[in-house]
Amino acid sequence: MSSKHLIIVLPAYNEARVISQVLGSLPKKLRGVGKITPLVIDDNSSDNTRAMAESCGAVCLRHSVNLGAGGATITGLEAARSMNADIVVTMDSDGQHDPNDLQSLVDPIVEKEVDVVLGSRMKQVSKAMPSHKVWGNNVLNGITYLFFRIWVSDSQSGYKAFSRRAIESIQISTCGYEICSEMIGEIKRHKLAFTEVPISTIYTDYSKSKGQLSLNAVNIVLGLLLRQLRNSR
Amino acid sequence: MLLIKCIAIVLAAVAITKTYLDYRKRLEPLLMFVFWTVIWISATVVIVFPGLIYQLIDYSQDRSVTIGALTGLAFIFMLYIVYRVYAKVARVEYQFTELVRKITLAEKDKGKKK
Repeated sequence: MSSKHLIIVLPAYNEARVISQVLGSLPKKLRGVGKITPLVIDDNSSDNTRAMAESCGAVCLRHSVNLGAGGATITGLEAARSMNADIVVTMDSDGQHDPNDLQSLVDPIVEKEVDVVLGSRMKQVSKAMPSHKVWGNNVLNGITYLFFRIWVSDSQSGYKAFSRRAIESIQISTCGYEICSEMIGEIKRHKLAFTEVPISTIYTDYSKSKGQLSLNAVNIVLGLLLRQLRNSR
Repeated sequence: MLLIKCIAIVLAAVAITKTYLDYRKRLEPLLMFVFWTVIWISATVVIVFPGLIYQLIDYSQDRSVTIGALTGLAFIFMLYIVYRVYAKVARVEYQFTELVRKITLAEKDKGKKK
């Protein structure tokens, strides 16, 4: 029997409406994984996200100040590192990511083929995905390539799996939405083996309302530019 | 030109009011309030009475000083302030994020020990 410990990091901000449903839909068992721990990072929600998450049996950490999705993800990765996770999956807590894709995300790490698995919405583009999102993702893929010289089909996907080696290597210095692109850059910098697997996206009115605005692309570019300038010394 | 002068006066009034409110709420010290009020009043006076600049140049007796040179100097000064503010904000934001994260992780460890 496998003794691998999988921690699923779910950054959450005011997700009390759906967090129980999301946590309830997580699989109890996965091939090659001995233990699954959902870890919710409550990013200073004003609703009872934390209480709901804890009532579902998840480990929950709460930021005393709202740091944004990126900041919450980094806290999740650091906490997972200290909890001796063998595999870490980052997943949105608004129900947009399909838990049925977890197995295909962790498989390449369980098989020790790669260190990072990127879930890609662009490998099997859903008809429900708005065309401006498809277009915006491609633009951000191009921008990520320009900054880090590494091409991936969905640079902004938050559904990813990391091996222990990967979470020990990756150092993130941004905390906004540019974190996704920076992670891709870190994969390149540490020469981590990676693969992309197709994931499906569940679009509901709720998940659409919580999604990234297209205008965030400007913030992402600005954040990456400032990061590049800061790190150039 | 009258429109620009009016806009400048309104903007300066808004800025001074905001600074005064910050001072009254004790978010800023008196010296800071006085400093920024002087800056905005000076800038507004120059915009409303641009002839003052020519008088200043004449007074300096230095023909090499032109309006362009003064504008350039003001622009560099403004950019320097923007850069300093950016550098400070970026540093504080990073340290603040790290601090919040450390507190969160420390609370997790504390909870584990209980």
